[in-house]
Amino acid sequence: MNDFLKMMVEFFGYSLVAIGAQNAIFTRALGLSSGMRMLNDPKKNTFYFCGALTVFQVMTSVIVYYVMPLVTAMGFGAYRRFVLPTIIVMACTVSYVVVITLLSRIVSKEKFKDLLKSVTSASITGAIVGTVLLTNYQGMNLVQSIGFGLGSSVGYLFAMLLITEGDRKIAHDKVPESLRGLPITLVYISVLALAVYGLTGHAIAL
Amino acid sequence: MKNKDYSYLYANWDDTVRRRKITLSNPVFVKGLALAPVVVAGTTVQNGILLCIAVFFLLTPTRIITSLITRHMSVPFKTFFYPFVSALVFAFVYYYMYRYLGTRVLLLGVYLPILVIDPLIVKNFEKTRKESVLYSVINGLRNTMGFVVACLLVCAVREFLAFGTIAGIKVIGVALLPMAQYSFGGFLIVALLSGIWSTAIRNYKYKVKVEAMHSERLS
Repeated sequence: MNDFLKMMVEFFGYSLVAIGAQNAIFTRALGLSSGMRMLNDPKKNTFYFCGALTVFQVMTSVIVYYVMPLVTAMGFGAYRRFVLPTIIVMACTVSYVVVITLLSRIVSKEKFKDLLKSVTSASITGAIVGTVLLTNYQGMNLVQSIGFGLGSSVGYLFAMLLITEGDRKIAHDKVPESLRGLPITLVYISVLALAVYGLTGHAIAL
Repeated sequence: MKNKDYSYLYANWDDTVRRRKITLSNPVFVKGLALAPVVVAGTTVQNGILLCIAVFFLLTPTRIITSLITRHMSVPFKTFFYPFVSALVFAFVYYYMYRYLGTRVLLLGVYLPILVIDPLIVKNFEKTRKESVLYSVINGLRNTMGFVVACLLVCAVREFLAFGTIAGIKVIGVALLPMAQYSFGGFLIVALLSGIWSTAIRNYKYKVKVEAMHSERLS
C-alpha cells in the first residue's frame, strides 16, 4: 500500500511540475513553432491536436523507456546521447501507426478524414521529443516519465488554449502595425511566461 | 539600384520574398521557426554559435537527402521520413561537435537535439511540390543564413542586456535587463526584434513600390 501511495505521489508530483514550473511552452518553449503553425491553420483543431499529442507523448515515453536499455545492452551505451533522437523519432512512428490503425477501425470515414491532419501534425512535435529527451537526461523511472509526459501534454493544452484565446481577443487594429502578427503573440506569451515564473519562482536548467 | 530593378522587384514581390530568406522571409523573425532553441538556449553568443554550427551541418544535408528519396512518398510517410533522416544526420553532427568542441555542446541540453524535428529543418513535409537537389542546396543555405543572422543577433542582444558582455567581452559593468537570460525575456526580445524587422520590411516594400511607380511614370 505504501509503495502504491508513493508511486501515486510521484506520478502526480511530476505531472504538476510539468504543468506549471516546467510548462512545455511558457518555461521551455517546446513545440512552440508547431503550435504557432497550428494557430494559423484553420484546418487544425486545438483539442484534436493536443488530445493526440497527449496519447503520442505517453506512448513514446513508454517505448523509449523500454528501448534505451536495449541500446545499452547492444554495446551502444557510450553513444546513447547521440542516437536518442533517432530512437525517439522511431518511437513516434510506431505510436502513430498504432493510433492511426485503431482510429481507422473505431471512427467513421468522415470523422477519420477530419482527425487525420491534426493527428498527423501532433505525432511528432518539439513538445514530445523535448519532453522524452528531458525524462531521459534526468534519469526518470517509468512512473515519473509517464507522469511528466502526461503533465507536459496537459500543460501544452492549457498554454495553447490561453494563446489561441488571447490571439483571438487581441484587437489587432489597435496594435501598432509593426507588432501585428508574430511579435504581439510573442509579447503575449512573454507576459504569461513571466506570470508562470512569478507563480512558481522556478528558473529551468537547460 | 536602378528604377527598372525596382519595377521588376515590385512586379515579382512574392517571388522576391520567397528567395530572400535572410531578410524578407527570415525563418525566425518572420516565419517564427526554431523559436525554442533561440528563445531558451540563445542566451549568449557562444550558445548561438553552437546552434548555428548544428543548423549549418543539419539543414542542407537533410534537405538534399530527403529531396532525393521522398519524391514519390505520400504525406504521412514524409512526416516521419524527414525527421528520421534529420535524426540520423544529427547523430553524426552531434558526435563530431562533442568530439571537437567538448562538453560545452552538452550545456545546450535538449535544445540541440530538438532541432531534428524543428519546422526549420523538416518544415516542408506537408508540401506537395517536389524539390530538385540544386533547389534544396540553395534553399537550405538561404534558410541557414537566415537562421544564423537572427540567432546571433538575438544572442548578442540578450547577452548584452543580461550580462553586460558580448561574446564574453565586457562592454558595460552593469546588467541592464537581467530577465533577458530567462525564457520570458527571450520571448520579449525576439518579439521586439521581430517587430523592428517587420517595420524594416514594410518600409523597404514601400520604397520599392514608390520607385517602381516613379519608373513607370518616367517610361
